Amino acid sequence: MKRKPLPLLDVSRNGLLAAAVGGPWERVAPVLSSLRLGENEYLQLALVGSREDLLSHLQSPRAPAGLRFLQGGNAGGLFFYSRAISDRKFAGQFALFRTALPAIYLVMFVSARTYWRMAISPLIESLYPKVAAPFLTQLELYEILKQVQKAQAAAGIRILELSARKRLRGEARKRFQSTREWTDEGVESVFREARQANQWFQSVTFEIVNRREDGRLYATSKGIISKYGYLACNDDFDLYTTIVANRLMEIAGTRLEFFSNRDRVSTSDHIPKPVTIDYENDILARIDETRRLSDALKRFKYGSCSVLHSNPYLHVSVVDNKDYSTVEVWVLSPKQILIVPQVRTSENALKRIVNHIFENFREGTISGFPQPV
Amino acid sequence: MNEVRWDPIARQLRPEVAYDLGRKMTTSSENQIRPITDVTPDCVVQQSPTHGLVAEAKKGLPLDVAHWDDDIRQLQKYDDDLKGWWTSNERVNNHDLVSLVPLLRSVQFSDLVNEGAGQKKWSFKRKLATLGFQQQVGPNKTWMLLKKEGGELSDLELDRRLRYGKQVNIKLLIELYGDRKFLDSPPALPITLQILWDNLFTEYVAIGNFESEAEITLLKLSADQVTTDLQKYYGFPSSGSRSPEIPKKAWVIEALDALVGFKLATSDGSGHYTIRYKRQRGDTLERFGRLCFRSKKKSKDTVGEDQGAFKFSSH
Repeated sequence: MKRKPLPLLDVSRNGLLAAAVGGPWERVAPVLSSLRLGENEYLQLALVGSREDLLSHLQSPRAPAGLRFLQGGNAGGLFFYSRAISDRKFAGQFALFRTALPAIYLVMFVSARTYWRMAISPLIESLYPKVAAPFLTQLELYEILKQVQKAQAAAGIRILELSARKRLRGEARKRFQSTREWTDEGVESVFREARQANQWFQSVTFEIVNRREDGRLYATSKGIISKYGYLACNDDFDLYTTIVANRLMEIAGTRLEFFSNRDRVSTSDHIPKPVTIDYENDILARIDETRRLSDALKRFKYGSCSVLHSNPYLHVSVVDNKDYSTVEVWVLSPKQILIVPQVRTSENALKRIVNHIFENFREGTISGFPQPV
Repeated sequence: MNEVRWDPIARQLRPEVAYDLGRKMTTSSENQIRPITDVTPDCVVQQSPTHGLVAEAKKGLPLDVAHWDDDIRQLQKYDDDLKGWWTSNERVNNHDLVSLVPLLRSVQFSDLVNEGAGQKKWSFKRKLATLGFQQQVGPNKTWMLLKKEGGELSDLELDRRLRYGKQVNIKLLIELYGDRKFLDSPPALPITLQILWDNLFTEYVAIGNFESEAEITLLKLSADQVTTDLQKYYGFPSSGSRSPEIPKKAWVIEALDALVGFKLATSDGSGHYTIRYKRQRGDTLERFGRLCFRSKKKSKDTVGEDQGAFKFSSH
């Protein structure tokens, strides 16, 4: 990959983290244009949602083991985190910023990607229910990649790798197949084939390409976007932060607000505000499909599920055992799933249940939620 | 009730219509069945300051039609100048009677009402309508069908709608009324227990600061507090002396005492309980169903053991 010429004052990983101390993110983002990475290093950003003061929580005695606050201010902080697995240790620094969106935080670090997989991602998961990662729908993921492509009018982007889950049809004992595919295709064809194959992406790895004077393509940077609000890139930082990170923040913030204050304790008349998932076709017309949904809900991570009615309509109670949030899921029409919050249903739990249905049953459209154009 | 509240022209519920489930009404001295006494019809709806409806619902009717006479006489109790409406003198000029029965039985029920009237077994001064109800799952929605199979209503527009048959979307009922889980008679005990365990106690654990033993949270609560919260979120708090509280405290005590019996709680005997609360994977309703069944079986077996020996006379 051909690198851009070095700016006069380049910023290394340590320089970036030093500049990040105290935040806010909006002041740090412009520094990224001067960032220079080492080999195998990626600038990585992860969005998380939390109604708690996460900066304060991670500095408190209740912070997870292995985490140490280094320095910072009200808008951002620098932390050191290490995690040991068997005889391997994964250690590094990360910055945590508040953003302009309430309850949305940005985690930033520069490292090899193993630090994300083995340390930061498990750390975020361990903080649930205080903290939850957002999720993107397949359509939103597609939309972001299209925006990146549009910004690179000269040549665009090439999809290199897909981490996907595919729903297996028929009587296969295993319901889903996880795949990692390597490809060299354009955005449209990859997403079109995925739709036809009943496949959805957990992450997409791609290159931003440009065209030389002689017409040959060359890559300027490599990027990875996951549906859980994670972004990694090794150049073109301006583009990734202005287009990808900002859009991820917007989706995360809008989704968090959409799922908030729907439970009985939050509404003035104690009547909850349901969420509906709509489908284009009558996918819930048959009893085996509602049974499949019921089975999927029984596999809800950290949850428990009680079947209140199963035939001909489905009515199930789902409890998030970590968060103590409860919803009831109804299937009263073949094209719709109705999710009714109960006494207490946090936005993080509701978001997790909807994403669980998307991943383990089928992705649909959340009624009333702004859809990508 | 929802159908009575519905304004088909404005296409919205009429906010001025008052209603109650199990409202305490008082009969007059001329009542044919129970004079000067409190009665609690299943549903009372006041459409206007001068007119209302009183409804009695039967989830099921026995196969033997001879037993239906009692249900019809129950309606006679409400054929009276009842006191307890939402007016300054607690009276209205007139009200209709409505009998809600399963759709499959509704025509036969209506025929029986008419036959009995012809035989002078009973008579009604007020209009009596028989409505059949049935839950239906259609290609697009799940409905509650309401159809008038006999009699008439004073509200001609409502009468016409119900004569043609009205399908009420269950989803609408859930959204408008918040899926109230308690009505005027208690649900099966496992259902009450599941509601408490999955819906209410989770809230208490999430907001409270309780002690823990291993992974068990010791939830300290009172029957009064649980009753108030269930009424607020899943039932109907009382809005006056005639308005019932649903669920009743007795139902809550029965459920909490059941938890004590299952060794999932302890009680101090004065309405305060400590629940030994722990979340588990698995079906809560199934779990409590099993526990209730075993408990019932155990108590039947215990009764059998105490049975005295047969005594025979000496000669």
